[in-house]
Amino acid sequence: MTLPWSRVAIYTVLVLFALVYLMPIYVLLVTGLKSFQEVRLEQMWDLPSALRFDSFREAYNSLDSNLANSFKMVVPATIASCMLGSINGYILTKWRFPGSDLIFFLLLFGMFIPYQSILIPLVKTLQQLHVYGSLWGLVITHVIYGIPITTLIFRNYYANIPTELVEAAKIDGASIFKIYTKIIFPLSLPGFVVVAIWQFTSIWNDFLFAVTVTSNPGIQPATVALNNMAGSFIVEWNVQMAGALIAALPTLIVYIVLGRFFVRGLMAGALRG
Amino acid sequence: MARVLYSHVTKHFGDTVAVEDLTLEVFDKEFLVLIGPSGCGKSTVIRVLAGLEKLTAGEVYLDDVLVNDLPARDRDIAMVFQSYALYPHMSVFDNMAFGLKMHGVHKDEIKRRVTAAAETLGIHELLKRKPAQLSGGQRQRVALGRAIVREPKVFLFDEPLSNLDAKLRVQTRAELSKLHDRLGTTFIYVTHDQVEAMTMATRLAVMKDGVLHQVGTPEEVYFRPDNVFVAGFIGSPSMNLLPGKLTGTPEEMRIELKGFELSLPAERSKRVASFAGRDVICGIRPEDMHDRAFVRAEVRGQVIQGRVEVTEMMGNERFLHLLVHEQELLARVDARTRARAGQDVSLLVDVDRVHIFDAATEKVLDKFDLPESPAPVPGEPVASPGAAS
Amino acid sequence: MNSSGHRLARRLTSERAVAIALIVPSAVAVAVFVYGFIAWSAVVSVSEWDTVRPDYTYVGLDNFRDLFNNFRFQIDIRNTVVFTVLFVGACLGIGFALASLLDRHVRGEGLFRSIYLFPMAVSFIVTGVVWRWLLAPRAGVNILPEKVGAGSIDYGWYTDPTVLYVHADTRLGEALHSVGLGFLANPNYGVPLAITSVVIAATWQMSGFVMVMYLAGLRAIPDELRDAARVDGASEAQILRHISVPLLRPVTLSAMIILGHQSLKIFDLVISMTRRGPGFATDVPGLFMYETTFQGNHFSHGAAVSILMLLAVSVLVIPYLFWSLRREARL
Repeated sequence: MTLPWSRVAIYTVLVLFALVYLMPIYVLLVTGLKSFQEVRLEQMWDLPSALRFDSFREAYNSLDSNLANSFKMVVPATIASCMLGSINGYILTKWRFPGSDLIFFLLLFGMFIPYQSILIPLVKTLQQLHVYGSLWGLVITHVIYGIPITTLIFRNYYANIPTELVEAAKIDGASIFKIYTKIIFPLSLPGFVVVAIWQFTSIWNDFLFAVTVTSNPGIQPATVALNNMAGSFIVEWNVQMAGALIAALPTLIVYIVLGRFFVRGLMAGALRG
Repeated sequence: MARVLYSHVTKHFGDTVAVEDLTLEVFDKEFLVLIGPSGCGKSTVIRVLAGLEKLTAGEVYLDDVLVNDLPARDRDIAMVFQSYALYPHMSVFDNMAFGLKMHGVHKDEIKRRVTAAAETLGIHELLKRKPAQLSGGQRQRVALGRAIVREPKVFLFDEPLSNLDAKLRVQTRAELSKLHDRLGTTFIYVTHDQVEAMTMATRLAVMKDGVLHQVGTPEEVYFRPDNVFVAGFIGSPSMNLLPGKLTGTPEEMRIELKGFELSLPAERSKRVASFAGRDVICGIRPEDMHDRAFVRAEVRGQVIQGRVEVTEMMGNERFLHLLVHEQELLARVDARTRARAGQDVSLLVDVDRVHIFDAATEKVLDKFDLPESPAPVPGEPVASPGAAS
Repeated sequence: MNSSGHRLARRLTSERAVAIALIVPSAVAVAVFVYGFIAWSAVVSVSEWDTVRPDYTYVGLDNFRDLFNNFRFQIDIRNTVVFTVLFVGACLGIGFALASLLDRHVRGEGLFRSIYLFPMAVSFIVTGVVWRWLLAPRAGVNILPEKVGAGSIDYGWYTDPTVLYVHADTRLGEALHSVGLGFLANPNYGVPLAITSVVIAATWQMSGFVMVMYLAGLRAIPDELRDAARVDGASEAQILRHISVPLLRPVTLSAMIILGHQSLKIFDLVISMTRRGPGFATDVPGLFMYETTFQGNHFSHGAAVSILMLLAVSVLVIPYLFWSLRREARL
């Protein structure tokens, strides 16, 4: 089969764009895999002559405790976010009450605010609660500011579960809790996956809260450590690159394995425009 | 025993009126069908009884107990939804058992009841399957089974057949009637399908825009509609409705229509004499217009003339779309008729069965007798020759 | 009503009370941490609190006045406008182009889509670190042509302090002056070249998202519509122009709002990639707020910046929220 020239043009454009999008990953990889002798800036694009993990090793050595911090923060925050979002979504779709739409609207707005506008009170409040500078302070912060988006995703997900199921269960004699545990929750797995991926990714990738709530380098999550590393003149650029890849790896793996759900979260975040 | 009483029930959704001042008694063991065009509030009537909607005003009694504020689960009512609302993650067995579990019924009893119901409905081999693995008809049966095992006081049905294909619908209709006979429980059934309503109901309740227009047996509603809406809504093809004026003397009243008139028989004339001079709407069912060649002997009628625009062969009968003095009429005549499109035709209108409504109030002025007792007219097969102008 | 009716009536209302009770924790948390804190920030923004020690003495709008007279903040506003326009435009253009190409029954569509979208999964910090080296004057993109035998590029990217603006002594500048717009002939109304580097990195990260939105929008257009247009004799280009683009308007609006509000808030990317840049060429309000507040301890001024950021976002987002919720209610 011969391709008409228009098809060739389409594929050419698509492939060129793909190369541009992959370019940073290529540079990250080849840099990370070179020996220290080879990592001159002029040789940025060259393939390594031999596979050496020097940069990765050094980057990992300086980031490992921060990566652990990130995990310690992300896992509980994600779980709590999922539970809250699920319950809110359930109430806001299946147990609507006068004013529930207003509550939803007010929750939604919280998703768009620049967090700078709450940072000063947040820091002061976390200090009062004696969780400032701790991972728990960050967990609380992420769970609370995650309420809008997780509620939105679950609400949109539950809106597609027919209300008749809930009505049938009511007639069958189930209470508000039983309807949740026996009907809604068992049907929620895809919703939980979407929300978990979303929260995992955005909490892992967060920088603003991390840098303002934690000042002690021993407590800081990976994004802050990476930024400090990149801002320092002591650390070689190849180690920075390797560190960037390491810091990106958990979310990249999630994306590669569960990309389908990641896209769904994105679309939900876009308010199904 | 399960008696339901709606007393001045009103339900508003925001600015929309779903049900307005409904008073209706549903008798024990009755098969009541609520029928009306979509959006007439009929579903709201049963959802209110199920406890899924709160009333705006009025009272609902179930067996003389006020249930306005009773939660759905305490009402002892089962409902079959249009979409069936089967729990997608549960097997057929669990779907049917769920309500019993929620009511704390013992495991063995659940098993016994579910098995029995499944056998009755012929879905015994499906008990382990999930709803997604079932055909539409099978799902419908499971939904029915889920209601039956509850052994409720009242069964509610919200258009349960509308997702089935035509053949299955006919079959299920008969089965529902049988089920009603066997269970001896009160059924309240919502539909917009006249055939379902006429075939299954012991009584019909006709609704429009949230207002109850008539309650009665299928015969009463069909043959003696209370008003123009019921007359036009029940019956397919629907009744011809023509504006006219009632005139004449108590001995012989006439309905003057556009371009022609119909003389009423003596006993009807007497009954409607007091309405002389009133503007009326005259209703003629398509089947009450006959081809003179094939008319039954006892029909007293009057001949009218019209032009055939289109004919539709239905097999056992033929529909004639007529233009009678610039008015469109539909007649449903013997299939052997020779009338064809473009021809003039004279048809016999059965004046015993003409409906007369007040044009202003749209209420019926004179109901004729039910067809079980047609007035016999010995020795005069065709009355009043040459009545139409 | 009999007594059992009373008991049961209470149960019905209690079920609703339970529903409300379940949402109360979230509602209270958001009420305090979002709305309460915004109010608190607003109070700080009109206070005298300019050191480590809180001082809530009311000073009116002084802090805001200071800001608008502040050279750095003026430049920040210029940068934000330039960044927003370039970033939103680039994302919409690239996203739409990729989506409409992918919509034409392309083999390997899933793979292409994953490639264009993966930057979304990466932190802005990572993006910043990588692109800082890719756009470094003596590395990255500049030396890429050497690899194919061409000469290297000599371009400063984010280190280039040039600001393109209308000079007052040019003919255009004089024309502006003559219509009373002479003030526009000023670097404060120009385009700092350095910021295009940040735009490139941000577009790399976000354009895939726009592509996904457009692709979903295109897929939601019934094939029958396009078939009908084909039968009516429209070419593929005409179909795109007369059928797809108008029907995608809601998607475009959503994408514009989402990207636009992100560019008003941008902080992570700038701090990790360029920081202030030469002559504040890549400085943004987010960075200004962070440095003023948490490094300079000028809390009241930081709060004022944050309140202005919030206002800008609100102007964009609140009408959009109303619009999309009403649309949803209609569906």
